[in-house]
Parts: sequence; structure tokens; C-alpha cells
Amino acid sequence: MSRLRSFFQLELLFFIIISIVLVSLGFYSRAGFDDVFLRKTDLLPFVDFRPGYPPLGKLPYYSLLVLFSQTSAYSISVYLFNMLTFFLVGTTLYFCILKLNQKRALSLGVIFLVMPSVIYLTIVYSHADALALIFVLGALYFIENPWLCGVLCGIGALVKFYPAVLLLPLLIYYKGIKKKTILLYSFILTALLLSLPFLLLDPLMYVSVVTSHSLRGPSESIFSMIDGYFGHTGFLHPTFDATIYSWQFTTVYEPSSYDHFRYQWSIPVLPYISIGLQIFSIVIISWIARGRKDQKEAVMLISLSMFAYFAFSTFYNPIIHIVEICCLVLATLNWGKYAQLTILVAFETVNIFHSIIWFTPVFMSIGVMLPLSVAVILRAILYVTVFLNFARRRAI
Amino acid sequence: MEKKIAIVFSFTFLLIVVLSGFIAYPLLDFVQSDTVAKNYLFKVDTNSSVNIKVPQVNPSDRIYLVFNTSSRMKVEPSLTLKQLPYDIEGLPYDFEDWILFQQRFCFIANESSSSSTLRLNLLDPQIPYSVKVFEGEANFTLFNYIDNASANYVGIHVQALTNQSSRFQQVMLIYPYHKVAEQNFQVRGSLKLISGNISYITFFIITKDRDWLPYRVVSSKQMNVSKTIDFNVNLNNQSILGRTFSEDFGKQIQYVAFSISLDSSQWQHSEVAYADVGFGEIKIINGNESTIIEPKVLEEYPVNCNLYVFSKFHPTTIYTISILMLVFLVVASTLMFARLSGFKFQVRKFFGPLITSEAVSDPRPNTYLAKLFHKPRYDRLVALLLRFAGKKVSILVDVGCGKGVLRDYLKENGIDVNVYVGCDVDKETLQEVSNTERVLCDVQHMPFKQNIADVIVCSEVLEHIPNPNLGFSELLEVSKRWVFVSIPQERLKNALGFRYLEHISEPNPSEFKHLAQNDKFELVKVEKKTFAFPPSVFDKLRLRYEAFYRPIIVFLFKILSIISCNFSLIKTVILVFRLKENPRDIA
Repeated sequence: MSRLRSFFQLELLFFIIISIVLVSLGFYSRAGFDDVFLRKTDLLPFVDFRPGYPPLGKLPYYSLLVLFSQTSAYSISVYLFNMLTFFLVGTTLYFCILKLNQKRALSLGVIFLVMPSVIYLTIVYSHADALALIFVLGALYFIENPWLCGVLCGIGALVKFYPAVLLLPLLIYYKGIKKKTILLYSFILTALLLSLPFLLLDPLMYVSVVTSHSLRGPSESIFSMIDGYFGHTGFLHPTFDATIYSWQFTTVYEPSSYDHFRYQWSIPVLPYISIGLQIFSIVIISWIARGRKDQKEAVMLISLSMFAYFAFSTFYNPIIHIVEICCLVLATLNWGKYAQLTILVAFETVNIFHSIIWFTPVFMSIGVMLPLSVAVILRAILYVTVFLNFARRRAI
Repeated sequence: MEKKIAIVFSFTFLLIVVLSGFIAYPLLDFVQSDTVAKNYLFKVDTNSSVNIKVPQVNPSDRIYLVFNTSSRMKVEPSLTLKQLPYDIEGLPYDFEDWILFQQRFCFIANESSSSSTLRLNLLDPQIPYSVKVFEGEANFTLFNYIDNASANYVGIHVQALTNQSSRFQQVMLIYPYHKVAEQNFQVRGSLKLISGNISYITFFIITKDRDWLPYRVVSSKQMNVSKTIDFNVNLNNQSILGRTFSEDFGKQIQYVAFSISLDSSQWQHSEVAYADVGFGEIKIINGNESTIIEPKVLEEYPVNCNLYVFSKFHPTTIYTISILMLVFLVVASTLMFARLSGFKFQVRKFFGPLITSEAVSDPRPNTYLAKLFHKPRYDRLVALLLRFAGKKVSILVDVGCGKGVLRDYLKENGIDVNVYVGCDVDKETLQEVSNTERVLCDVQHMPFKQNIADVIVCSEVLEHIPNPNLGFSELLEVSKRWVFVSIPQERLKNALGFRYLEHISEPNPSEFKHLAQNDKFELVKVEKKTFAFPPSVFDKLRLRYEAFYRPIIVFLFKILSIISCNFSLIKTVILVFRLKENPRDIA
């Protein structure tokens, strides 16, 4: 309890420090582009309009805008919500580590809280990724209970899609049809119940939220570099494009190598290689975790499989780093103290470098291609280090 | 059991698949015919308008228009249609073919109509370039300009907005040029400042990789009104960023562009920065090819338009019923499967550091759980005791007293108990109750005389014994006036599989009432309490507003409390029994 109290006290201290920094730097939250569009046109999200995130990832921000309009109260409420998310992620991560390695829980929890890119990308430049992470970490915490895992993955998948990926390693991990079925059923039930209002109003628009992502191109990953696409997440389409179903969208745009939202791969085999590597790595790592009674090992391996999912993804965005770093913290718990710290700091440094490329005039003037390639290659080296270390430890 | 599970699972799975088919069929059917596309070709004059007839539309259908021209235009819908804004922050500048050389519009149908129309007005004449405001806020108009020497120019009037937020304005004329830059790449042409003042004119190569390679064409010092300037961007020019031209050879060009920049500081405060610039014939030489951009300005020109009517799905009654049935089936089969396979939600096991086993069984109000669940229960119990039994109690028997928490609450609330007797089955726990009478016993077999106690309190105990009715009868035997019983209401929680292992029975209040009546006791109070969010919060709010006497708010919170109480998993019922008017003689 005293350790828990220390962690909460530290979180409170962070809350105060971050609040002071935000106020003194004059950061303010701007309402999301889609949200303002919806407010001004009186369209209903997920019924008349397909936002970029599932309902639980989108509606909190939209609700705040409805409540406070574009006032400073909105800005404050978004900050508070983001801070709450940030601390909940920190707390769930802390509990996960506490369950597996009590000695490192406090230090790793604090390291996570002080990571600059984690703070910035969760509180100032927030996305639903961090919110979804709470449910992923929750599922890892309750890994013994397929009920809870299914429910948490179901809720998480309605915040951002990636928690649904956790189902695959969990399905492999659980031995016996009972646990697998319970996991699947509780996931489907949760997702279905939470989606029910939208399924009743317009199922096709709701499905379009998911299917529109299949049209998207790569971003800032090694696959995007190989394919020759150096964009961030693509240029802006008219916002009204989101009022039509995803397949209707394909009738008004030809696929092209410069449109992120209707992308044509220059090397068409690349996405298949990416998906193949993702599935292969998840299956292999989860198979090693299969039926393990040692919870520490099981959680580490499943975290590593999630980490592999992001490592082999065609899509990278600095915000994904938050998810990646949490998985990495759990996956490297059996590393030496300093080795673990080094790899975490290395990932953080590369991500900071990656993030500032888009905001630094020097990089913009020489063109983003070179610095972006450097960031991507550095990150690839770190991925290789993690996987080689994993292979070496398994071999031992 | 495994076989039973397999049969149930297969059957429900089959049902879910069949029902999903019923749901999917109308959706797939709809998707196959949800788009109507039409192509129109108009010859449009900038001074007149054209009507576009829209095919039959239903409510909420989207009408999507794509014009293959860079010219700005206005499309006015008839009353049955509502235009959607391009986006909220205005047209974003971006440099892709379809944004630069196409115009898009989207409308939503308010009602069914077969006679909707869209009225098209062109705002610009046709020129070879696409024109975009790239920096600052500015207006522009396009015109044809012929100079004294009868040379043609594409004229552009750029004017800064008076309420500009930026000192600089930059307007770009963009021309698509999808070629690789060869060693001899050069751009030649002539331009003229017709009136006003510019800061500079820059030539850009925009590559496929989003690199912008700028070369200065002319600055304000070199440019006088009416003077024709011939320029040549080639190997001898230095890039503005200090790069040499030769570094850009071999790059895949996507566009070439000219930007006209205004600088408000060159003007007086009362003046508005503007410039009229004419672009003459431009020649691009690249390898063996040369491309000429002719300075043509057309007032009347052909416009190609694609019109799409995208239908919106409206759920039918059958669809709605099918979805609800599917949800019901999934819920039922999940619960059924869980029950058959014996899965339980084991709170203690999984909530680890947050809820320790000590916290669950120890109702002292210094643990998280005690604060959350037990304290409000004791508060309420003591309040009822105060209300019915009064401030003075001669003998009080606390059945299942644990560590004697109730005694502390009684003291705190000023209830004076002459003899407090604590009973429990756990010897170790009982030893912690100090300075009072302690009896190690089971509620089903209490070693007391009949009618000995003024008040019997038995809170959250009867669910721990196999026969709660027997235990309750024993309480009635011992009491000579008041019996306070609280039992958890866990049917919903248990049905969902979240059963506490130590709760081995489900006491029934109506059976207690029946037993009490047989023993000349009457039920004087039944109070359902929920100690978890949200009902407890609603109750607190209700009490707060009750103090200010705001009946509507109080009523609202009461309703919310009742509704949420029924769905709450953690609740208890407190029953107060009193011996009827002729109290039994003390034995």
C-alpha cells in the first residue's frame, strides 16, 4: 500500500507540474476538425458521418465540445480528460509491473510518466491511442480471466481498433476451448452491446468507419520509405467526404500513390509482407506463451507480440510510440535493469527526433525525406535489437 | 458436461450465423445499388449560369459533384437540398491534382424529390494555371491583358485583405508538369507588373516527394510598372535556400509554379497592398522536349461534371428486430455458456493489490472497500436504530459482530447501550473486540435465553449460513422488541457469475416476513440500499437538494436512484421487525 501511495503522490506531483507548464506555455486545445464540422452541420457521428476513431475514442471529445463549445472551458476540460487518461495509463502500467516485478514497478512507472514525448502526445497532442491503452493494459493485468480480457478488449476496440489485435495472442495463449470461447464471446458481446445504438441507426456508416481504414496507405514506417511515400498521414480531403460510405468514397477517387486515404502501393506486395510478418510474429511469440502458468512470462510474451504488431506495421505515427513503449516496458521486464532502461531511453530519443522533424524549419528546408529515413532506420535497428535479444534469451 | 457445452455452443452459433445472414442480406442488397452516377458536359460562360438536374433522391441521400476544372465556382441548390461545407476552416491549400484541378461539392437531400436542381455559376475565366492563396489572406481575380505591343498576358489582380493577420500574402499559379528534371531544364518567359507593387515573384519546382525548390525570378527592386521582364530560370540561378540548381536534376517534378508575394510594409497604413501582374508565354525546356504555356484566358469554356447520388441506408423494422434478436442471442448464449462451463468472476483473485482479502472481510472504515461499501451500510443501520429503538438500549446483541465495528458507530451516534453483546463464529476476530461481552456462537444455535435482548442486529450474516430461515427464527427467539437484519441482494450479480464464494445462500426477505408474522413480529421498515456508484451518488445529491427544497430535482434524483439501483450489482436490503403490541414476557 505504501508503494501504491508513493506512486499516487508522484502522479499528483506530476499533475501539478504539468498543469503549471501548460498554463505558463499557454498551450490550448483546439477542437478536432471533424468535431467542429459535426457541430456546425448538425450531423450525427457514426450515423451521418464516419469519424476516424471508433465511438468511445471519439465521443468523449465530441461530448466536451457539445458541452462547452469552443471556449476556454472546452480547452480546460480536454486537458483534464487527457491528464486523467495519462494518469490512468500510468497507473494501469504500474499495476501490471507491480504484479510481475514489484521491485521495478515504481521506477518504471515514474520513467514512463517523465517521458517527454509520452507527456506531449497524451496531454497536449492527444489521440484515442492512449485511452485504448488503458484497456489493453487492463486485459494484460487480468490475463488469467478470459471474461475480463474479452470485455476489456471489446471496450478497447471501440476506442481504437488495435486492442482487438490482442485477441489473437490471447486466443493462442489460452489452452482449451472453454477459455477461448469465453474470450471470444465476451469480446463480441461487449463490442456488440456498445455498438448497438449505431448498428440500429445506420450499420453501413458504422461499418464504414472500419472499412475506410483498409483504403489507407502507409505512414512514416520502413514500408512507407521503401514504397516512396514520405507524407505524414496524407493531405486533407474535404471533410464532407466522410459523410458518404467508404465504398462510395472509392467511386469518387482513383487510387494514387500520393493520396493516403485512397492509396495505391507502388510495390503492391509490401502490405502483404507487413501483414504476414505481423501475423507470423504474433503467432510465434504467443505460441511460446501458450498455456504458461508463470504469469510474468505470459504477460511479457504477449506484450512482445503486441510490440511486434506495431513494429511490422506499415503505419507509424509518433502517437503510436505510447502504446509501443508500454508494451516494451512489459516485454523487457526480464532484461537487466540498465539494459531495459537503455532500450526505453533509446526508443524515446528516436521518437522525439521523429516527432520534431515535422516542426523544425531546418528539417523542413532540407526536405523531410532524409531525417525521416534516419528516424525510421534507427527505429528499425532498435526493433532488431529487441527481437534479437528475445531470440537469444529463448535460445539460452 | 463438455458434450452439453458443445451442443449448446454449436446450436447458438448456428442461430447467430443464420440471423447474421438475415441481417446481412438486405445490407448487401442495398450496397449493390446505392450509387447513381451521371456525367455532364457544359459549355459555360462566366457571365451566365447553368442548371444541373438531379435524379430522384430520398431523404438523407448525398449528392456529390466533381467538376474537372480549377476555376472557382458557386453551386446553389434548390430548396430540397442542403449544401455541406467543404470543411470548417475553409479550403485548405494542398498540392494534389484533384484538389488543384477539380472542384468538389456535396449536398444532403432534406426530402424525397425528383425535381431538385443545382445552379452553377463560374467565378473565374479559364486559364492554364490553378490559382491558390498559399500564405496570408488575399483575394484574387483573373483577367485577360493585352499590352501596347499587342502581346497577350494572363492577368491576375492580387489584393491583401484589410483585416489580414499576416504581413505577407502569397498567391501561387500552379501548372502540372509530371516529368523528371533533366540537365538542361530551364524555364523562360515574360511577365509584367501592370499596377501596384510586389515583394517578389518566385518560381517553384514541386517534386513528387513534397520538396519545394524555390528560385527567385524577380524582386520588387527589379520590377517597375509596365516594364516587361524576360526571365530565364536555369543552371545559373541559385536556389533561395542556397542550394545550386544542379542538385535538383533527376528529381521527379509534379508541378511548376509561380508565386506572387505582397508585403504590406511596403505600403502606407491606410493603403491596401495589391498588385496586377501579367504572365506572358512561358516555355519549359527539359531534355529534348519543350512545353509552352500559352497565356490564354477564356470567358466561355467547357466544364465536365460527374454527379453521384449516394443513397443512405434507412433501417427497416425487420432489420431492427433482427439486430435486437441477435444481441439477445449473443447475450443469452454467453451467459448460458458461462453457466455451463462454470466460470466465475473471482474478485479477490483478480483485483490483487487494490482489494486485498483483508479488505474484503474487514469492515473497519479505514480500508478502501470499507469506505466504499460498509460505512454507508452501518451509517444507515444506525440511523434506523436511532429512529425506531431510540437513544437508550438496555441489551443489544450484535450477531456476526466481527471486530465490533457496530459498537463504535453506536457510540459515535450517541446511542447509549447498557450491555453490548458481540457474537461471532470466528474466535480470532472476536478476541479483538475488547471491553464487552463476547460470545463465540453460530446464529443458528445461540446460547441465549428467549426474549433477552431489546435489540438484535444481524447485518450481512445470514447469507453465510446454509439455512438463513433457521438463523432468522433464532433471532426472533432471542429478541423481545426489535430485530434489525440486513442481507445482500445479489441475484443479478450471481446470475452474471460474480458470486462471492463465502455467500452460500440467498436469504429471502418475504420468507423472513412470513416467519416474523408467525412469531408475532411485524415488518415495520424495508429499505433497499445501494452503496456503489451511481445510485449512492444520486442519493447523496437528492439529500443535498432536499435541504434546499427543490422538489423537481429531488424527484429526478430519486427516479435516477431507483432506476440505477435496480441495475446495481452491490446492494443490500435492511429489514426492521418489531414485536406486535403485546410484548412477550421476559422469560
